[in-house]
Amino acid sequence: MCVPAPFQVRVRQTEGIPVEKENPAALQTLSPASSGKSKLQLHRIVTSSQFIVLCLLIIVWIVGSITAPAMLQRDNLINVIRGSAITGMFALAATLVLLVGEIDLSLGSTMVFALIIGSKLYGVTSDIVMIIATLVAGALLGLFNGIVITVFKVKSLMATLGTMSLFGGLAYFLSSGKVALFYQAPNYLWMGKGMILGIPVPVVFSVVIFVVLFIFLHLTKFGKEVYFTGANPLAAWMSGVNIKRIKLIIFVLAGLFATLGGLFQSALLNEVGPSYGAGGYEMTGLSIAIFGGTSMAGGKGSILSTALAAITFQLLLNVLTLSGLGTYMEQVFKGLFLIIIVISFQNLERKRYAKL
Amino acid sequence: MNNKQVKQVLGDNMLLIIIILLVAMGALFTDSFLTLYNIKNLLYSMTVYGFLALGQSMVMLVSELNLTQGSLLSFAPTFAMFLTSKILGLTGRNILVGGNYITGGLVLYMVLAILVGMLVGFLMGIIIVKFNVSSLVVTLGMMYTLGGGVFFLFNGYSLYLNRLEGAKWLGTAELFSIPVSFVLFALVSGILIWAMKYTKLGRRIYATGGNERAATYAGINTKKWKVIAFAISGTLASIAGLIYSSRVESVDPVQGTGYQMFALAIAVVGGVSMEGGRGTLVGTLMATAIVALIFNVMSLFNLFSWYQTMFIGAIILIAAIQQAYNRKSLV
Amino acid sequence: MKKMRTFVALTMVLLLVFLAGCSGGSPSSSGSAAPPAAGSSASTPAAEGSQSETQAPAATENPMQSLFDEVAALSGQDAINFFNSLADRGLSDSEIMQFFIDLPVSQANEDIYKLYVEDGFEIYADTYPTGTTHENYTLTGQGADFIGQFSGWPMKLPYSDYVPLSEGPIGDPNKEYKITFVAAGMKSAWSTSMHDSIMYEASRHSNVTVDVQDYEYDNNKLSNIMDNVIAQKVDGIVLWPANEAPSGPPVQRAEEAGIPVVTIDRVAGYSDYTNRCAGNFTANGAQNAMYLLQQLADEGSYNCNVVLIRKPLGTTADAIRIGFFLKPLSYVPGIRIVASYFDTSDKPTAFSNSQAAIQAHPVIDAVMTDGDYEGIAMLDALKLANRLDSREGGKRVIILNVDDSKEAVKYVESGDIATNAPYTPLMADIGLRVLLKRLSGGELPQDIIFPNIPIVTQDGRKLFGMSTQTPEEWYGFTFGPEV
Repeated sequence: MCVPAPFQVRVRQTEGIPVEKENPAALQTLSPASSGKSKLQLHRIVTSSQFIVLCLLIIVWIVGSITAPAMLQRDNLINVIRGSAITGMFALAATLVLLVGEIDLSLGSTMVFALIIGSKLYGVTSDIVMIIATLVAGALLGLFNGIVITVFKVKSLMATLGTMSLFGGLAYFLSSGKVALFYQAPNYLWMGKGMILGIPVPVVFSVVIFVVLFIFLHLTKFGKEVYFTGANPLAAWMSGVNIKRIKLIIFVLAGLFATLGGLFQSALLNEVGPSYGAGGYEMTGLSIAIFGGTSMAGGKGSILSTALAAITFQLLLNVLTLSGLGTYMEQVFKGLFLIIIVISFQNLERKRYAKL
Repeated sequence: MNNKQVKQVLGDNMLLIIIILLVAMGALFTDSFLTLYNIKNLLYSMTVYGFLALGQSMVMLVSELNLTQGSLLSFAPTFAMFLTSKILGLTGRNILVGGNYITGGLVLYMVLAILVGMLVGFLMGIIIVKFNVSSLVVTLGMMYTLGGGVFFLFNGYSLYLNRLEGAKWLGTAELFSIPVSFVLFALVSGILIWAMKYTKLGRRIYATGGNERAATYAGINTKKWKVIAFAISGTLASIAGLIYSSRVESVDPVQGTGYQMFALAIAVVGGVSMEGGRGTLVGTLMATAIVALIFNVMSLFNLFSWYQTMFIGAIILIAAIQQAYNRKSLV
Repeated sequence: MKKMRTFVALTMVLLLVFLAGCSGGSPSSSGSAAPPAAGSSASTPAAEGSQSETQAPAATENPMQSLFDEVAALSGQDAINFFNSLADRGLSDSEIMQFFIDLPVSQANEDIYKLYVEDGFEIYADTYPTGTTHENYTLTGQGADFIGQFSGWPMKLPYSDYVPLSEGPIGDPNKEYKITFVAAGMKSAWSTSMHDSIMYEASRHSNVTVDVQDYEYDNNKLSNIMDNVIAQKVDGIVLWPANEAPSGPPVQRAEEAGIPVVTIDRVAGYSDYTNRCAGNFTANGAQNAMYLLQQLADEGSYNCNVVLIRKPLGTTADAIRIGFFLKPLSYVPGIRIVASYFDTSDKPTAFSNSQAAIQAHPVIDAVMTDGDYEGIAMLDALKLANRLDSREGGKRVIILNVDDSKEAVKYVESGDIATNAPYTPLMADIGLRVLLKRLSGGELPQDIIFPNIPIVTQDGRKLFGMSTQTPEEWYGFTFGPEV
């Protein structure tokens, strides 16, 4: 939309810049007269979410290699990176949605419903068509979410809670509760089990997608509008950003990426069943996104830190499992870590609309 | 009455209309809906969901979320039983017989369960306000912790309560044909509704949720009221857990899995807003009735459970759209 | 803010270091709240709700007691030699199987004995219905062919002549009998097939209708649904109870309202009711142990690392199978159970558990599982990690499996999975027939025990003299989609 020049607001990239009111002490040391500029730079780097998550990754790596040396095995690391590609897709979806100040609880159900829809084509068409159909279904379901939220102006928590149940039930309905096996779909299975130059296929796809999205979000106008929408919807609207369109696109992407993550998972397992939506994927994705410094209030988050957070989280789970604690103790630790991590890395700004 | 007025009336009383429709469906199309036995079933099934939904509503009214309620349904009774058996064990009395059967300590167990629920809620509240963090993630983490920890208490066994005198009273006794658990539920919700409307508790909670900053500037200790809301929700969840355990005469590590989603769904259908400060407990009660009715009527129709899930999803969406309609916003 | 972050980083480091000291701390070895061991087990014939009333075999002397006494002192190769001598002593196939099922646990293998006692397997073993089949029924290989109503798969009932009931109207031909089948939903091929089997039986009797209720593994919902069903005043209920203890009171309410209840597969926590149809879990566990012991004996060494991939802790399916698996193994030192992993009865978790097991334990000789999906998940994980033939000398990892899905049995045929001990879901028809017989005025014992199905091995080899089945022999009776 065309807005006269005086009213155009320049969007400032908010992540990575220290929030002055949090750190008055730092501000005092940054007098322009001294070598303030480089200190400011250093301060920016050190307090950025990417750096923090990277540090955490290194800590987990070091401690893990001491307590569970099996972690360092090549096959194990391949498992970890493949697993983080899968959860990373959900985390990416969650990040995108959080960036515009919304939340999506239906990612697990969207994924499973789309996969079931795709599975109906098994044996009917080639498996490549099946893959494409599944992804398209996921995108359309995301679109449904987006429409309910933008056109009907429903709060995203409620809307996605509703679609979570609706899509979950529809997945059962469409599949009559049956699990679908995919042994005769080699391309489909390749999506999960295959390797490209020794790197698991899910990782290759995820890296490409993350890079593309990074470019989109940081270097295009679209990306800046996304951040603006989340940071201050009213101001964004007034300065001509088409909020509806942005949110629709985001929800479509979220559905698409969640479905892709689920596709990788089901390819690994040779099957998909309607109960797969209940695995807590959306919650894991949300936790990773927040762990990566994405703000629940919107407008702040980084693709890179989400990616690093996904890897760190997966590595952490791996270390827990390998250390022989037992399934249930692992779960206890997972919960405790979540609490501890979020206490330290959660954005301290707690105002605005989507309070949670 | 013109179109607009009809829409207005429909919109305002949406929940009541859904209840009436469901009751009509049940009464007209099945012959067992209106029997005394079935109505009692309805009341029984409302209690567990209802307590959880009330707790969730209290937390949502201060614009937070509590995902631990499902895991508290199993953790509170199990941990309470664990403590009871340890405490009584110190006095030389062994209440755990044959590996699975509980034979004593009923009162202590019930009191401890409520305390455990209150403490967990309190702890959640303190962490959330002190560190100013997202309640969704913290309660999620606690949910995992409690869900895993409960398996350590009794090695994953279910505990039988059928040899414990009076254990099944709370869940199955009746007062003039009305289940005691429902009477308790009605009493507690009555007290809470009255408190929210007429006492300081209510005013503070609505103020905290409605506009936290303004409330803080007005001198209200918003942190304190948030912690109170969490403590209440934890207590209500543990009461629900006691009723559940009493009705099935056992304490399982897996009971209540996934119930936090029900609680959340009921609260939002009942009109409690995620942003806080908006919605009433009366709405929550009606939404509880709706969910209980859906389960009841649909199972009388012998429909598969996935129809119920879809139906609930549809109801949530309809209620959400209707509420959005009522609340005009620019963006 | 910075202080906070350092504090957190330090906490994390401390916690992770704490992990190092904590390894091996699964619920079984934390032991602090483990219930009292075998001594005070439920053989006290107490008042209402006791499980032990149906333990007829334990009250009287087990006919094989002399054999048990003989083997009690033996361990290692001596015990194996004793097992080998069973066939020479004139025991039939089913008697040999029964021997291994009823075999008491030994202290010869100390670690396995400790695991058995600390995890309380004895308690579950005592309460599970055992005994002989009704009218000494054995599998005849006959079975009704039909297309499953819910699944659309063609299937063949293995038990269609057990507790036989001829086709046509039952009881009073002018009365419509309304039965409700209450189960936890059709979330897997196994449970869908179970539903199919009961609907098939219903279709044989024109005056019987069976409605299906799904309580979604939620015991509160089970309670409510049972109450709804009681309100509908049905003529009978067939129940599949996911968890024993919480299903007791609803069954009691139904019985007290005059509605007969028959449970199938798992048992409910109220034993004073109409009928329980159960069985095969014990044979699943014991036969897999037999296979492992026979295999190790043939290989000449009993040094063996075993990983357990299990269903949730506290479920009957897990406790009985693993318990009865451990008992024969306890006679042979050298067999080590290196780890237990639990899932939530779903394949994704089983798969990630399998991957973790493979990475954490460089030497895995055998894997025992509680379900078909677990065996297949382990197979997939081993293939993905190129560890399928990673035993010493390039031998294949021994995957011991239960639940006879077509997928799993096909893998036994191809040699990828070593065994499959069938636990067929196609037994709900027995439950319905038992109920209908009751409604027609017949008398039946409280426990109807399923016949023990011989384990499926690739070549049908003999295990300590007992014949096993080949995949071709059993394939017709398997469930699930074609691969």
